[in-house]
Amino acid sequence: MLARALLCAAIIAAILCVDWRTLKKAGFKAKLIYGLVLAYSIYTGYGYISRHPLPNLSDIATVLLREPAGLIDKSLKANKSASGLLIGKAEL
Amino acid sequence: MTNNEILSPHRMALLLLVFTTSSTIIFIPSSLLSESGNAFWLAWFLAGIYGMFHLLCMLFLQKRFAGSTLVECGEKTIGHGLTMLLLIPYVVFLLLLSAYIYYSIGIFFTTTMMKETPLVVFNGLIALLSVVTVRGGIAAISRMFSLLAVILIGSIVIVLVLGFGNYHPEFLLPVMPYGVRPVLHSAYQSGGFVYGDFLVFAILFGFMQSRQGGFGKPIIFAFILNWVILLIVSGCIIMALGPMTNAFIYPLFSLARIISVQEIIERGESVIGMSLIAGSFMKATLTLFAANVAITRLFKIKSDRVLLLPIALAGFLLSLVVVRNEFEYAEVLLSWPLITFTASVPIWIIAVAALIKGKQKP
Repeated sequence: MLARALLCAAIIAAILCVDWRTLKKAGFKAKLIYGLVLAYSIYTGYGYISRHPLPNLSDIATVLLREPAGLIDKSLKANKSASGLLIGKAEL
Repeated sequence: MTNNEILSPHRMALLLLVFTTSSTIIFIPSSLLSESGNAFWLAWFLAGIYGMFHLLCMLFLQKRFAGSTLVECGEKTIGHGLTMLLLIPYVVFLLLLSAYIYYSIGIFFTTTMMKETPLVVFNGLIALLSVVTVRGGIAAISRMFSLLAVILIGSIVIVLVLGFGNYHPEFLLPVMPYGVRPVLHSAYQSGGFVYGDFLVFAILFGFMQSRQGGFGKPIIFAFILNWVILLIVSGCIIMALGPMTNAFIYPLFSLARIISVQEIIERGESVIGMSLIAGSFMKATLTLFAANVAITRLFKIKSDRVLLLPIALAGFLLSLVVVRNEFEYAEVLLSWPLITFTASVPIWIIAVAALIKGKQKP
């Protein structure tokens, strides 16, 4: 856990060092959006460090689309896959 | 990286070709062949038609608003506020796509070649490489990718030619043993992957020289070329692996493994591994570029450089947590076509709004 935390801290520090000059010249809105994206990265990074990811964009997408995707999958899938039949034929 | 770099339609067509071909060689044969089996060519055809609709929609927007990205097209048709609201799923799609590309590179390496190395190493290196490339600008990206495209397509051709001895044309029969439903399933999956992912070009086409007209031809040619490559790759894989195709996640990689020419040339997986990584790197770079431009322009930030690093960091960290186990990855693969479809909705709405607005003009 410590190694993962140190890695994340090092990456964020490096990014801030690189962007320092650009940020100093940037306007308030750019700084605000920069801060928000960085905060989202830290939120996501917490999941990597603790190995217990918090709900994220992928979870929202999965929760919203899991059911229709499952329905499409179920309705279009054959009872037995085509290649399953082929494997059976090859074995025979 | 500057805001005013413009590419010729031919260069943009090359970017489209490498982007779609990168998907083609990694996952598509698997999703195309797993359900439909020998009727893959029908699924291929349907998926291509689906993709062509998206492409024509994006080209229509370019024709109407030459040199504008999707954000600017939206602002000119439905206004800034509504564009911002509508493009939320599109931006989420771009972030998720970049995360899944990093993840797919990492998982490819850690399951096939370098099993002891942690995922973070591969994801991090690809993310870093993408950032450095995007900072070079779209003109530098296109010059660099011209060379990589040769490696990408060249290695596919080499593997397909060297695998010639393993092809069994009889594996192509029977066609459609389970009817039409598996074909539609494969069309849904492959259409959602290869022709869903390329929605990033709704942003990238804004960097194309499209004022003079005639820009659509090379783009459509690149699309059709990719369509043909996909057909050939899938056909060769099913002729080589036959009934076992379903058992492999990376069928082209597996095909490269069984290459044996007179015991002199054996096991070409390093060749295809190289092109897989080159392809994924190009895809990751273009996605990061599009995500950066989309967010920067949505919030009207003057410099395109400011948000690049935090966006890449978000994509990289997301790639480390986005898939917790194999079951979850299967769920992601299942819902991805719907995610790409959701991301395409704003493009269609903006295109329809542009059409109505154009008709209203005297």
